[in-house]
Amino acid sequence: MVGMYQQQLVEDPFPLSGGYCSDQPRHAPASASTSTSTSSSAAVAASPLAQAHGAGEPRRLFEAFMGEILLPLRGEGGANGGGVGRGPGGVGDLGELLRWTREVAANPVAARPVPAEVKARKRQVLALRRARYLRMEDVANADELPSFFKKRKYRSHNNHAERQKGKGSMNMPTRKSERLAKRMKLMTSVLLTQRKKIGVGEHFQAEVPDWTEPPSDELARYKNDPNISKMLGTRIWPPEGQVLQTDKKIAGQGRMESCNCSYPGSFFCRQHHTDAARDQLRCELGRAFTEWRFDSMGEEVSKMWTREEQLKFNALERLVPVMDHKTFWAVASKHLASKTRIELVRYYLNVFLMRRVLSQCRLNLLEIDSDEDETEEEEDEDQSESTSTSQRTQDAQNVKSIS
Amino acid sequence: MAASGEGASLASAAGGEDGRRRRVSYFYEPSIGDYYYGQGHPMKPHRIRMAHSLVVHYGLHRLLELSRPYPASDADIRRFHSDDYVAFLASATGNPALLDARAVKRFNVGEDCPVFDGLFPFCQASAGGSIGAAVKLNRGDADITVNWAGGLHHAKKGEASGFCYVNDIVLAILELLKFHRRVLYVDIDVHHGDGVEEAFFTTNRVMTCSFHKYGDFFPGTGHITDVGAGEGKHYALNVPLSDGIDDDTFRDLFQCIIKKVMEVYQPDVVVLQCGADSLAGDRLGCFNLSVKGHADCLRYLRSFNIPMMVLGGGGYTIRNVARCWCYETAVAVGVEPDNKLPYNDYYEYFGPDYNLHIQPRSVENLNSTKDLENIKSMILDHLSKIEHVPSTQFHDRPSDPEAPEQEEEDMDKRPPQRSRLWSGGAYESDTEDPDNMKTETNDLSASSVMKDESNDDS
Repeated sequence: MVGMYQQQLVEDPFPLSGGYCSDQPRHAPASASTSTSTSSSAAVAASPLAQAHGAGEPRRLFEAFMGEILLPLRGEGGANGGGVGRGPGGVGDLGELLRWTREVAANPVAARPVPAEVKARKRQVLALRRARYLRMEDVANADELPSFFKKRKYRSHNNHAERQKGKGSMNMPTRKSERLAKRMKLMTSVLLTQRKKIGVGEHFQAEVPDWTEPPSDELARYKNDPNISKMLGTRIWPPEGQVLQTDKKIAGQGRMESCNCSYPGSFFCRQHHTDAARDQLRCELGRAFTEWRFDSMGEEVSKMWTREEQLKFNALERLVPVMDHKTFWAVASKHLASKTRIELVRYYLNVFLMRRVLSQCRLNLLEIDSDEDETEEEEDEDQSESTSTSQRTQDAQNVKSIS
Repeated sequence: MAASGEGASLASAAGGEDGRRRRVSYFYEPSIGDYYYGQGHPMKPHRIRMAHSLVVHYGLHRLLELSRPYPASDADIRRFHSDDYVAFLASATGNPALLDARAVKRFNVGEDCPVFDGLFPFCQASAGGSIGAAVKLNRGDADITVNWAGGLHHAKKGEASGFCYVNDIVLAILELLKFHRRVLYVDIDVHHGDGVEEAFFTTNRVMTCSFHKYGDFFPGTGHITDVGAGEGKHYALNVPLSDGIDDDTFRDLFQCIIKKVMEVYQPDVVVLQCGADSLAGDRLGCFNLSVKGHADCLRYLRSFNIPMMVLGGGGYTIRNVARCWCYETAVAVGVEPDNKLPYNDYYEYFGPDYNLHIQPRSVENLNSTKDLENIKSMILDHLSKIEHVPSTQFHDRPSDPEAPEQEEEDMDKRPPQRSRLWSGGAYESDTEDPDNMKTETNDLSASSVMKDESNDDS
């Protein structure tokens, strides 16, 4: 059974993975930040068990970072509104556009008061978005579209590298919309391009020989050429000596409808069956089990981590919304010095993200996202609701596990 | 639902009728899941590991041959990519201080395509799997080969693009061309398959066919009138779509077009890029396909009984990517797996339902019937310009305005050396081409095919 998770559910009143279920009162911290993180880190510190394991350190870390990074930036909060004025069309039009956009956001499905203008408004919003997140030279370049006959294909995403260097325009935003926008910046070149041309010439095309029917012994020669055969790789399954027989095998079976667990469908039921499935696979696959590294997938990875290390990781991860993405791993490496970069990443992907989905499911969130690195924000807004829901779930779990 | 769809039955060496099992060879590199593009980056090779866990826990491995790929060498990669680009990739490290700033800019590595730890081994594994898959098909050892780590279709000869560094698809196709005269490439990633189209833009030995979102969307190529150039003219097909396309609409369009492509082009082998960002709810995509709808493309192509290579690609909502590629592995083999997922190493990723299949979203399908009819008719018109393959078993021929006999002869004997070697720059307009169809440009001006006009702004 997964040591870490089971322990914390039995002993602590809250799970440590997402940190959203907390029965501790919120402390008003010195440096205000997302109340979720603060309350749960306060809760972490308050729990005697957590303290015994030295979880006080993550809290100190956390508060230090928040102080350094966040405070100077809080003054920039109004950037979103301020930026609007710089866009095209003058302030008056933009004020109306902004009002319209807010109305749409507040009630997306309602019929719009002036349906005819919807299309024009939509275009304006897109144009505004482009203007907001591109510099002048980007817009200028796009205007002089490459002449059909002369210029090489237009490269819009090279501008990214330049944008990053001269990082004057975009500050470290603090609001969710800004953080999203900042991440969108990463994807701007993915989201937004003008029509481009396919390149033609020796710098673009592959060399494709003309077709000639291969001579009759060519295939035999091809099969016997070791340089080519090596590209077939190493066969892992069926194992050495066994031949693939496809006629009678059963495959495609899902899980059983019912089981004999005391609490079917509960977290422990699922964990139990997952462990059983892994054991069964180990039996069936033999050597292939290790070759495919099933022993370092999912919660198995957490077995290599102590509880304290996991707590520390969680605390650090919560800093991501305000920290530059690039520095997170450097910071994590520093504070979890015994872990290599690969081990950190492996833990993040196999354990952390998966547990996050688990807690999202518990909170009955409508939008579950295993990949959003900044999902924390959504929880912020629903803090009070989610606390009570998850607390009920938590109590139920505790009762089950104890009885 | 017009389920599997019958393809035209063409005689083939691959064997196996639709519905029956195929010999499927699957490539998986066990370390692939540990490669990491960086915090916040949507591309996560980890999804391939999740898919593999599902495949094995469903027991599909019992019907497959599974191999660990051999990493592609520098020389293998240089068969397409330029020497200095490959040298850069091979030496690039994750330490930003050691990167040459000019090289970074020149090869387009940076934000979208970051230099991460293990970048080159990652590329080697991806390309090695696709090349291995091609060798398998060349040898006739499998009917269908699968490499979910492949399908990185944006990479260009001399630069990275769209999270892709080495274009494993081009390398695989170059290998296939040794024993297959005509290769059909189909791309159902939500993004245009520009890297592959560009590589084969001027040849008729590879026909590239991409279904993608067009308009204010990466990469910006893939307009319906981009049809290829030189000898490759009419051998590039682009099907530009708008947001929200659903299973039925997509299937209808896909089968209509592919059926015609098969008739006219008669490829000897098919390569299918199964980018999963065309699924509903994808983090970067905007289509509304279910896993079933997505897999129907594979199912339909499979029904033609031609050797096929199945590759990965985009896909940024990783639990859905895993679902999709697991299901498509099953479809390749010929198995319909249960909807209730088996317990597996990543089970909690699939909550709260823990099902294999996903529901489309309730979003508007912005592709109107009229738009789709226009697209269909333009595409079919493009296809009618291709000379029919000679010595074919088909007796039906489309009404062909060209002089068919002359072109038939050209195809029979060894084709002449490529007469035009474009030295560079954007290809010139159709007016230069002696085969120019005035009608092409007229069709363009007719009705606006694209819903979203904003791509013309700025």
